[in-house]
Amino acid sequence: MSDDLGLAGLYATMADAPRPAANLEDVRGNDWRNILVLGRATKTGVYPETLALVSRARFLADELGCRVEVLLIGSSLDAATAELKRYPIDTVYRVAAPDYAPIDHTARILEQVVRKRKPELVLVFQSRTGDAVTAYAANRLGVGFATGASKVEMDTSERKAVVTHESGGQARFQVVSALQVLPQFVSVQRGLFRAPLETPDATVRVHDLSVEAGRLAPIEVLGHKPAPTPTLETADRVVVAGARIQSAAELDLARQLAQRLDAVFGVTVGIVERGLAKDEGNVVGVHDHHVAPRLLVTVGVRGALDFLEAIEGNPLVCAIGCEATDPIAKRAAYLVAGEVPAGVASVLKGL
Amino acid sequence: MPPSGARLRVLVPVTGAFHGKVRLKRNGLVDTEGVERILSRESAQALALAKQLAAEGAELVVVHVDKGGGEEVLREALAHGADQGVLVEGAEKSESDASTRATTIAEVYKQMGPFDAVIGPARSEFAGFTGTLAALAGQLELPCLVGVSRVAVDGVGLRIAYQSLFGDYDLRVPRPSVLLVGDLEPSHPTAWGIHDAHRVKGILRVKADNYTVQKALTKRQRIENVPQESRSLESVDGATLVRRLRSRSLIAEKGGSP
Repeated sequence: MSDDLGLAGLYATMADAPRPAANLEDVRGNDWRNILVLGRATKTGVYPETLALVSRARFLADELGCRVEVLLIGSSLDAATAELKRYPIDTVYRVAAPDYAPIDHTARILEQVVRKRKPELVLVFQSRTGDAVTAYAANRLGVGFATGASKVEMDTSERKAVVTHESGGQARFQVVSALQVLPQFVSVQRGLFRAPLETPDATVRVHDLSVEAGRLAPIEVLGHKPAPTPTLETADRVVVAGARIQSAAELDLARQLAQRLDAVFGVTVGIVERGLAKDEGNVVGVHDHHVAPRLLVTVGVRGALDFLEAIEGNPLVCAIGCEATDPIAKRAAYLVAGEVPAGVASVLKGL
Repeated sequence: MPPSGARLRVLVPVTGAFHGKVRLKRNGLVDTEGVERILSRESAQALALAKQLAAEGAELVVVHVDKGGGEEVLREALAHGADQGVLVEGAEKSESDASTRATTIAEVYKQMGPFDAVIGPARSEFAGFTGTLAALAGQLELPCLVGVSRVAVDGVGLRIAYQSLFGDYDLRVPRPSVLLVGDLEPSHPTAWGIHDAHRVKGILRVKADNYTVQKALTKRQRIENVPQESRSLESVDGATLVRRLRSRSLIAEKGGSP
């Protein structure tokens, strides 16, 4: 540390020694307070959805006047702890567990931590596992739960969560449910919230908790393959290049954009017919190739009927390099009008 | 666990779905007048998974907590090749949530067991069943596996394949376990299956515990139509587009992953 900081240097030195506190006393009585987020650590930090949940938890905690706590379960949690320290979190609890922790193991750890720390609301991000952990832990505590929430609000007078989630089936409805008993367990859909802003002066307490998960079922991992790369049909983000593209260089720009957005790249029938692109199994609208992303970026696409009909769900469509009179503009939320190279270049520059 | 040589038994909880146009009444309730109840797609997928064990000689016992039109749902499940059907009656009028259904199914599990596996759907149409089987696993202290696409007997345990966000796993799990079905082609009934389900096989009717079904821990307030998102086209430059997409968490923050 440089010498010219004066007393500030002294404070900085003191602040640089965060140590996990030991022997944290359990919360006693029936005062359920604070919001606990079940985080997920990666090798380099935390899974982005953890931060999204922290963001929502911070908002709700400020309404309720309580703290935001994050629970990390795993074997190497230092990188995750370091990342969480940059955000508006009050406490991080860490529990040691093997890298592959079955659902019942994670759920029992969560249950024990909830018994010890008594949070009023537990947020878990939605996945098949997240839903199961939520339900398993809630049931062991004898309380209700809600899964797949698209909205989480708090009735601040009752301190009870009001949760909205979409129904499945042929018709789509929104079901609004109110949780009745504390603690409340909610799994929240992914991609709803943005990570909170970093807080340079955040003081995050870190506690290593010792939790007894009880007798666990012998589950043996016989094989593990990483998740398959997303395809045109399964990807969350898709970039499609269309017939307004005039040259191979422009097509290359569209590919670059897909790469920068971490999106799957597809083309329309029109550009293939013009001979600028080949059918490499990525033509949207033929061979039953549908797309159902959350974000669809079209580059030089006019919006022929076969293409429009291949779009499933309700993606956010951004049209680059087309005109407001093109059919795609009727589906699009954002339009970067004008020529393709200028439009793509301006987006690439913004990234 | 059954003694060596005994037949494997699998409990398959199933759910129903509305077949036809479902509308909302003004009071926020679903108008089901003239709408049929059928076996949900997820339940047909669960039956397809359970039938992988039936091929190894397992007996499939289907259970359905009746919320109206339950017998049709159960007979359809029997038509998929299940051996026995259990209809839990008495929960039609109460507002039971996933926790109460888990308790009800746990009672069936205890009374009609032992079972070597519980195989079922992860979710239901109006989410009343969603989470039920994981809650059941919590109640019965059984291991719970999700996204299962393959199951086979492996010595005294089961060998399963499942998919998650973090990859595909092959696992050996003990018996009994609760398995929630993943992406799988649903099972289809056969002509003889339909015949047997309606003419040959009987249904065992049991009464739900009154106290349990009335003890819902989550109260459904209302059902609404999903509001149509009105998107007026906004003409923007590249930098603004990127800001808009980041604010909706649709693309990565600078230097991060979405």
